[in-house]
Amino acid sequence: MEILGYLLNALTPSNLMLALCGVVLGTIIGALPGLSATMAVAVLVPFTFTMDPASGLVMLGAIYTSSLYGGAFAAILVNTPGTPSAIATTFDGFPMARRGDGALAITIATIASVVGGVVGVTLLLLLAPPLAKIALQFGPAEYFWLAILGLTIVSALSAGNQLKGLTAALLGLALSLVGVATVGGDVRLTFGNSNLVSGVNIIAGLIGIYCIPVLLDLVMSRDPHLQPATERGGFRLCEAGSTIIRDKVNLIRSSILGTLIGILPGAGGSIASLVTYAEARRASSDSKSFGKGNPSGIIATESANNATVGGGFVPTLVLGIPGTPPDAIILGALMVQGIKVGPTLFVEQAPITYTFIFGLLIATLFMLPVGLIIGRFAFRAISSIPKAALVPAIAFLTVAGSYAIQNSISDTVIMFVLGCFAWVMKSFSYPISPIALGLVLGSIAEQGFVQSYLIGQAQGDVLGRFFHGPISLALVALILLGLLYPTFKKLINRRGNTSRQGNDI
Amino acid sequence: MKLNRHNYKSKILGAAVGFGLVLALQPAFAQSEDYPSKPVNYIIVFNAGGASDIAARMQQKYFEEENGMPAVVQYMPGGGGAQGWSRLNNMEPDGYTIMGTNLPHNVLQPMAGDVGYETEDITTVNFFQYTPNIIAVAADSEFETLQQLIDHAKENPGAVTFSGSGSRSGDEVMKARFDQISGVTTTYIPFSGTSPASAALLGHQVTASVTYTTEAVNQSDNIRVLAVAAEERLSSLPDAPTFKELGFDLVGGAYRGVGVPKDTPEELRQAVSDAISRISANAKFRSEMSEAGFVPIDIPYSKVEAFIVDQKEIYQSVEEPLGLTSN
Amino acid sequence: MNDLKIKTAFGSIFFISLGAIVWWQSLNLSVMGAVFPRVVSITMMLTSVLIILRMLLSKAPLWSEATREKPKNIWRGILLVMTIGIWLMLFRPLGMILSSILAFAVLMLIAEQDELRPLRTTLILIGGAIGIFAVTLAMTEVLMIPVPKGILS
Repeated sequence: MEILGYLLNALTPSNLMLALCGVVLGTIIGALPGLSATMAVAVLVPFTFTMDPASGLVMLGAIYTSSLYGGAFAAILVNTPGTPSAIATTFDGFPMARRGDGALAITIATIASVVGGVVGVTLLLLLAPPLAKIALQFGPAEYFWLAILGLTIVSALSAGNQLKGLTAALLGLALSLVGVATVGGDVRLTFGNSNLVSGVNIIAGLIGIYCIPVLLDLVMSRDPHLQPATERGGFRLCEAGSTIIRDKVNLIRSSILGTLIGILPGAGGSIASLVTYAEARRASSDSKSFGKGNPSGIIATESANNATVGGGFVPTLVLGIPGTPPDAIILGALMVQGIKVGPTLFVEQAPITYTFIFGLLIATLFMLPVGLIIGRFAFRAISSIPKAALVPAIAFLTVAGSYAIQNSISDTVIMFVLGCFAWVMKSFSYPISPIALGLVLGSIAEQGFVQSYLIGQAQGDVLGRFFHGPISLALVALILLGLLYPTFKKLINRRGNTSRQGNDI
Repeated sequence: MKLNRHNYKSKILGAAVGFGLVLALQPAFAQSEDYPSKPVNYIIVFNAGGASDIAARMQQKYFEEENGMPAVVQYMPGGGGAQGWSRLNNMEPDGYTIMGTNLPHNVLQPMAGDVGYETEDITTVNFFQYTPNIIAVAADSEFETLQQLIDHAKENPGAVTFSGSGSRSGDEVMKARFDQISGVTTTYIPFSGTSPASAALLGHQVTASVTYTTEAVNQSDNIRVLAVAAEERLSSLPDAPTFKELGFDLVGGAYRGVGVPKDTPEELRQAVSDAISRISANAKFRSEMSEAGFVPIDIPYSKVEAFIVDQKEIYQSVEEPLGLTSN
Repeated sequence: MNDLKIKTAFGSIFFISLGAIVWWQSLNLSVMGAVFPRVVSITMMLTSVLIILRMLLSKAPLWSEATREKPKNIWRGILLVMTIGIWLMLFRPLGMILSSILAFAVLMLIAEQDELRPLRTTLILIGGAIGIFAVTLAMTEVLMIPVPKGILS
């Protein structure tokens, strides 16, 4: 087997060392909101010019995949997604940490991430060219429906309070409109303020919406931030393992779904983890406990967002169309090195390509020990340090992180204002996670919508454009299923049980 | 604060393992004679991996060799570049913060509305490359030549769709000029970047694409280039005819340059321009650029103003189809 | 009328006006750019009207989950918001390191809910200052992010 020879290439001590460093660095960068994989990868690109191309790529890949995983730490321990793809991890991760199961949540997230990552890379290794063909079947209409499918999770997030959840999601969509429109080029909702021309930065928005309410709650109540670790201490590896084995269907489904969404250029980890979460919730027999600390939620989102790494490299390597921003940087690094991507990459540049893919696999496996050690340390630190240190520390990371995104204090101001507003909304019993969903999915939904509309108009069949092809129809069916299924379930329940449900404001 | 310390330690660890720590202990006041005497921050206002980024990365590769100090590429994407450009003049005018600039963006964006800067606010000191536009179709498209596409568009006004990157961008200008010169009506579908626009072409979501030569090089096996808006054929695309060969007087694309904050003193502007020109003179750089589909040019600081005036005239001819006159 | 009803009414009125502002802003946009804002605006106004209607028609006690289980110290919250606000204003003039250390000290005092213990407070402050310095250094030197140096430059 020629390919296995490349595995040995990837296993050189220097490559292993680079992968390990990459994983440590990536995990930490991912855990800090505001510092992103894109930033880390971009900073390291120049160093790869002087390195052996394959080694450089191994390092970049390791940072990228582990930073998506690192996002789970902040999500679980501080209720703030370290990266946008960890939004859905906050839903169940933080409730688990609050009740003292933070170590368990982190271990579960780690195992799920590793499995998801391995599934994604394996599919990349074995099925890249056919998967790339699927990616191309996704046109504007399909992206639009995919974003809407992601938005249907709002109804799950705000059970019993759906109108308010929808209103919050609409606020998020409105925020995503601010600035220069990609499609049409209009300058929207800036009210003449040039700081708003670029819009509300998604990461800054997320930091504000999640972090500021956490800070305010911390200082305003006497409760500890997290319940201290239970006596069962340690990694709780066995417990995590048995939880995951019990939930293996969810794990595998989420990993595959994550890979498939990952191959769509521009969709990325955030949509993947949201859609997967919604699917996991629907398929679960215990969907009510989702959002209240159900480990299945973490398994779904964390396996999905790491699976997008392997998935994202499919169009990047096969078509030269980057799946995500870090993919784009790695693609750029390849081009600067004079390596041409495309179907021939797997033949002409086989040593580099396969060494890189195996390097990614090794880096994913490294996440297990590295993640468990860092995670345990972080959980201990966050649950044991006094509030008087925790509050200013989180506040500093919030300000520094939102500044770091684009070296801009106006992002920090936007972050802060949105955060305060989110707290007020929360105390008015509006759920706040839908704001994040709207902000993240808004531009994808809008671009898909307007592009489909324009293409449909040119072809003289606007409606047909939105419902053409099996993928669109399947997505529409999933959306309807997601929206109608709870009502359907309720009807059945009602027949047997006439007790009234909670009031819906 | 344990987290913070840990973070620092690991970053230092990461930095120490082969990547070195670049310390900026140089004096705060820059002098133009010994420019550059510390690393230069080179800000790209588009996403990493785009054509602006790749060109900058190629410059970065030779920046240290030619100028003795490295350049550090940073990204400030957002608002189709407007975000970064609107902040350029608030940056330090010491020559160590430079920013990629772009025509026609810097002319067309401010015409569209209040984007936070005016064309005059952007002080470009050197244009170092231009990327010709192309019209391309998927490799398995029914259209073999530009004439076939034009004929089809004449028979079905508005039905031919072009994917392109952004609204009021170089791509849309080219599409509008193409419509004018060939006398057809087509529909432009803006995408969030060159890559998504190509994906739509490869996935047969659109008839054709207005894109750049770099993308043609990148996608060589997957797309068919019908015409290139350059003066003569490119060495990287020897089989692709120019519009001129086909009888259309159409030359254009994206002109990329390097800008500085407006308070930067004249000598320093010249020094920055010289630093860029030195890279442009490097034969290896030129051949790598051409290979990737760029056309290396060297328009130094003294000629920049006249160059912009010439380009503006071209953009004014398509103000109406781009919906700019109403604003 | 309980507390939550008033809040809900207030929130809905806010979102109805926000929807109206989005609509008003969409009036001078191109057709392409106006479609989505208008959809968002109308839906936002609609959901808020529905929320109000539902509240008026519903006689049942509102909102089963109690919104306020524990007394909250609103003053600490206000102080926190003011501190961060002032911090952001001083971020450029004082520089990132100095403004952050000052803010760290103030926030530490706001968050301290037990009696002040001088030794512990000092240790936290020193740890915080070291952490701020370290993160700032990592940002400027490793990630190449320029930060305002302020009066320390």
